[in-house]
Amino acid sequence: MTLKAKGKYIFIILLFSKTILSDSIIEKNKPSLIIYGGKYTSTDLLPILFRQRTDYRDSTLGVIGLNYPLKYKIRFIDIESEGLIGKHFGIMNHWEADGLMIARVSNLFNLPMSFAFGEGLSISSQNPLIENQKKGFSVQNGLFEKQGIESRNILNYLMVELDFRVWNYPSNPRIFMRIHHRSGVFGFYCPPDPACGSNFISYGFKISY
Amino acid sequence: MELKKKNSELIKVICCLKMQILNLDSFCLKESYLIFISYLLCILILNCSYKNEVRNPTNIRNKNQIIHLVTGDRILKEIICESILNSTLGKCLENTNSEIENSYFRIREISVDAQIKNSSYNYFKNTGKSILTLTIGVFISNSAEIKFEIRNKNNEEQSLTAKELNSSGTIERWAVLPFYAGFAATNLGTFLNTYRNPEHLQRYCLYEKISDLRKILEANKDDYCDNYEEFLRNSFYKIENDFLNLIQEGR
Repeated sequence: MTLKAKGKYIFIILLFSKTILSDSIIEKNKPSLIIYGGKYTSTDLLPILFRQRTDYRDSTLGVIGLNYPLKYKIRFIDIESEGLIGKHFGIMNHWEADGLMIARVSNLFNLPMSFAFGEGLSISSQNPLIENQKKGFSVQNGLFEKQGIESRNILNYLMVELDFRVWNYPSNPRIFMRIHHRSGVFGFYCPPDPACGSNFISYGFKISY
Repeated sequence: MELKKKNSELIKVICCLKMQILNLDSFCLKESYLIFISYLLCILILNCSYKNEVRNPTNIRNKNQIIHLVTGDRILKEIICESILNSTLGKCLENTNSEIENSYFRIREISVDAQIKNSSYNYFKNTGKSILTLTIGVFISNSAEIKFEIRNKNNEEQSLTAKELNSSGTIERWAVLPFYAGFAATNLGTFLNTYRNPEHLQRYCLYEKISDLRKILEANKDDYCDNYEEFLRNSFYKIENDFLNLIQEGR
């Protein structure tokens, strides 16, 4: 199923959830436990976000983390902090840790969903195989690479997330879709051209406690 | 020999920091872990820094004196009464006029007004601080000058003394983000945070009704009042001793 088709299904769920979950008994500003899994796509962040383009590879990621709201708001944006620990499976087999700050817009279109953007640092236990590419002919994508890609263990972490409350319960259970993005920020963390980094399109759930 | 060893270690650390800050062409895993852990620690400290100051009332106070505080600012009244309660001056009169007439205690009337001026969202101060932290610091603040006008009326002598106290207050938050991101967040945050200018907070907390659109785009009444209280506390605590001395002098 393509990313676009998944998005349509989620939107239909949302339309129903509006009527079911109109009255909220949710207590905000509680820490949340987060669990998600994702699959690597070789496409860049912007084509994923705006054109829903994906090119999945056999590399998956499982993540568990804690989200802590900072009880601070700028206009309609809530500020949160988050810590994640992940394990890679498939082509790669290493650990990853991420620490980030999140800006979240809640109750989008008066629906029980929120949009979040997070920025932080990511560190992996070894230089991720899939983020590196040698010069010359690439077996992975069948292209001739003029220049190799050199990645690093520590890179910038960025995430874009859309979450939906699935049940009107005090523990506020939510499902979400997240793009788990590591990048070299235009040459700051790794040589710029071609840029290093990776994207995982992930799905998961979170629950407050 | 040891000095040489220490020197080479120091050079190694400096080289590593330089690589992290500038280009990171070669990579030291151990130092990277240290940087990552310190980043997480900063986030943890940040979580603990969002605590409001709480004061416990003292037991040594003048139990025979009640201060009737007259002000149009309910937040200011709350803060001053809390301060009086913490001092040895007595306590604030909380109830009705009939209680004043029937009161057994000595009642003093003090009128206080707060005038806020020169509100600022500190753009240059915030970005300057972010640059000083090599663009990893996010700084968002608003500040203003405030003038407390205090009129001290003694019921027995019917005399009136008026004094002014000047102070300044700040509402400030900070956070840590990776290089460049801190600077970008400071700029964006300062731009979005303009509605926290103290004059604006006072206006919408005390005097004006907040429209639905303003509730969505800025803040609701509770948020306005919480921020206004934070500003008032910050500015009042700077002149708290002078204020209490002034009341004591007029006794």
